[in-house]
Amino acid sequence: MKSFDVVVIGAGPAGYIAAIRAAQLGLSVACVEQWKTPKGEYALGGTCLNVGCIPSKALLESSENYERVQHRFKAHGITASGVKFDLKTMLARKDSIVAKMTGGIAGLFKKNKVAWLQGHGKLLSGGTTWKLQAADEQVEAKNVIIATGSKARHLPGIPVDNKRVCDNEGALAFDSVPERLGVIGAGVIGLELGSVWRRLGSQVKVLEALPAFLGAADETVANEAWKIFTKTQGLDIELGVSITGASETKKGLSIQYNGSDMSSKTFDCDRLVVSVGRVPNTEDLGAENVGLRLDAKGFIEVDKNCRTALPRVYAIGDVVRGPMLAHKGEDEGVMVAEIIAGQHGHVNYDAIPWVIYTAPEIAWVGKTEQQLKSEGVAYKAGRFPFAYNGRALSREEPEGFIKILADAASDRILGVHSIGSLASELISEAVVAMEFGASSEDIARICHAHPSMSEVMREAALGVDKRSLNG
Amino acid sequence: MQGTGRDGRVTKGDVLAQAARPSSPPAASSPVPAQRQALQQPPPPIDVDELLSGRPEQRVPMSRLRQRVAERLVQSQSTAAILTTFNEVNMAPVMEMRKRYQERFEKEHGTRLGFMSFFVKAALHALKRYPVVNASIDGADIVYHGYFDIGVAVGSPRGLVVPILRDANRMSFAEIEKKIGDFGKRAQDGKLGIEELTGGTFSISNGGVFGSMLSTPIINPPQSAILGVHATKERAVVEAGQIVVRPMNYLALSYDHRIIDGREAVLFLVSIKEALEDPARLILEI
Repeated sequence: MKSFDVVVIGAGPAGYIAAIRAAQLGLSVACVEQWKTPKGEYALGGTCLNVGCIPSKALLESSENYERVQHRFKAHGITASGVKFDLKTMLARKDSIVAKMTGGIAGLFKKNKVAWLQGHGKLLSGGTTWKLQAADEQVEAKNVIIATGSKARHLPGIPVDNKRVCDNEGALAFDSVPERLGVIGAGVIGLELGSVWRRLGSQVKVLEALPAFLGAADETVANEAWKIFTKTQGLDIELGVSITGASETKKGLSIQYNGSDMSSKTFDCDRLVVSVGRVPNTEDLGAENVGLRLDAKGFIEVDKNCRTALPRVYAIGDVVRGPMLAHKGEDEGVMVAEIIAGQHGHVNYDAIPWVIYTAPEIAWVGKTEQQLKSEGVAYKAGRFPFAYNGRALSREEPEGFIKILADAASDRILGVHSIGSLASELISEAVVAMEFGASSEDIARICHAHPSMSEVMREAALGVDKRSLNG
Repeated sequence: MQGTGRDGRVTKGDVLAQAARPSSPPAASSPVPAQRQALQQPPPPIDVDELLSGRPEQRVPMSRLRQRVAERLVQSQSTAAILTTFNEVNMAPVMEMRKRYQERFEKEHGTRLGFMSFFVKAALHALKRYPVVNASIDGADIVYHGYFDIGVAVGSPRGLVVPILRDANRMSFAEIEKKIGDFGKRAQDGKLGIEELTGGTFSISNGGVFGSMLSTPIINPPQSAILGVHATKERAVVEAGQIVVRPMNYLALSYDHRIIDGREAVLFLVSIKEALEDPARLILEI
């Protein structure tokens, strides 16, 4: 039986990063991954690289470019007629990026001597070492890292076939642009995929069960996003609905639901995307074989260092508590690998950025204004719009703002919230600042390049003390 | 001031909070010198029970003393070429002498006759024969000291301190015992002055009080050597072809090989061993 210092189950962003970091630290590592491409080849990278973050970004960029040519270039004095797009090329480009990225991990595994065990991984028994089933062989591990990720939650009565009714996987590979697209769930995935197909010509309707739009985001950001998406871009979003059923019609699907006023409504569409959250992958993991504890929702119970109750068994990423974000899982992977190697890895859960890749993008880190209010924290806010920024105007991207929330007494930054072009990139400065316990004055006193979008961050910081220079 | 930023960095909030605090009188008007204060810091607030329930981590800033000790130890190991030679000594003669004279010694001098005075005397005896062990390096020069200031490592609640017996060669057994007793007491109370802790030409570390059997002590720069003495335990040894039980103490001498050769180091330690096994040599200076 092959024996390893560390066996990682799952090669998504959390798992593959944990495997590489453990190997860097001199441990012998194997990583079990069962993912297969539509062509039937084993692939690394998990949901993120195969049917999540990366392919969705590829289609968002392509569809955004199409939208720019059609609508935004006019302001620059550029007009084009007969602009067309070829969906096949768009999808092929997406697929080639995915292939490049997942192939890259295979290369990294080879370079770092991580053994890639192709097939399903499962815990068999414990003791001084852990025994696992990995594909058709049994292996032994001193330490186990579970990084099995999550899968799309489906709705009862609306079976997903990934042809007509799709989750994230199918919605990234439509063979034609649906005339009418229904999206259930106005979360990150619903909004991003809804945006892609709206730009490519679909008439999109988004149904959301919650009464509030983007409840996790700061309210001012959510309100601004609501305005831009529904008024400026014409995305049809209905909140506070409850889905009662779906049936196939001759032309497509008919969705029955109750509106927020409890009136029963129907909505016809050609295709439907179900994006109502994700559930942890803990089935057939062998948890019962070794007494691994799961909580009521199926997540593996861990402490802040991602230790399970079993000795030398760790769990990271979407399969444990906390936001389902690839970078959160990656950081947990690094932490756990370092802990196994006898170091003192840790994750600062208070400084994890969130990003929604709509256009404009939404990004934030730290506490929202409504959180601070409910916790009774005294804070000051500084806000600055991109509309006053020279670079944003010359890029024809004047929408949105950055808002900084700082402690009223110590001026320590408690949260930074942004909606606007490149918000995903701009938020990094705020994350660094929060990681170092910076005050808003610290950012206000740092030189920012002119003209650049980043000046908005500084002006927002100055705004905390009501002394923005350009607004 | 305590920093609350990453890795203890001082943030704007920390400075504002410090400024808002009423200025504490000792900082302004204490008659105690600054260095003394550093030694009087209360022990760090660690609650072991709390630390073991759950898996929390507790971050406690190093005291100034601890930081200084850490700095010196690292400096010692990175500059000197330290190695250690060992020997063993039969403590029976010293023990016999103590037993015989303890009562009269105490009556005469008002202090108990301990072992440390013997170790100090034996070390002085050897230092006089091998002056390079009492020397130190200054740049490209070797400085031979015409005095013997012996550091004696003493445990304190705030960590290890090494007060100095100045001109130890002019001290009697009783004076040495009294001085060491006084050092120990004042180390407990954190009342050793900085002037009592600096200088020194040679050190003795007695790990035996905690039960250590063998250790490789680390040199206290700019000194060039340190003697480690340990717990005395009954051991089976061979004398004249017979296995006999003897109270043995293992001696260790760590020395800076840059100026002390192996030959001198070994002979120095042998000289200590011989003096302890035959204390009459201390009087006769042979």
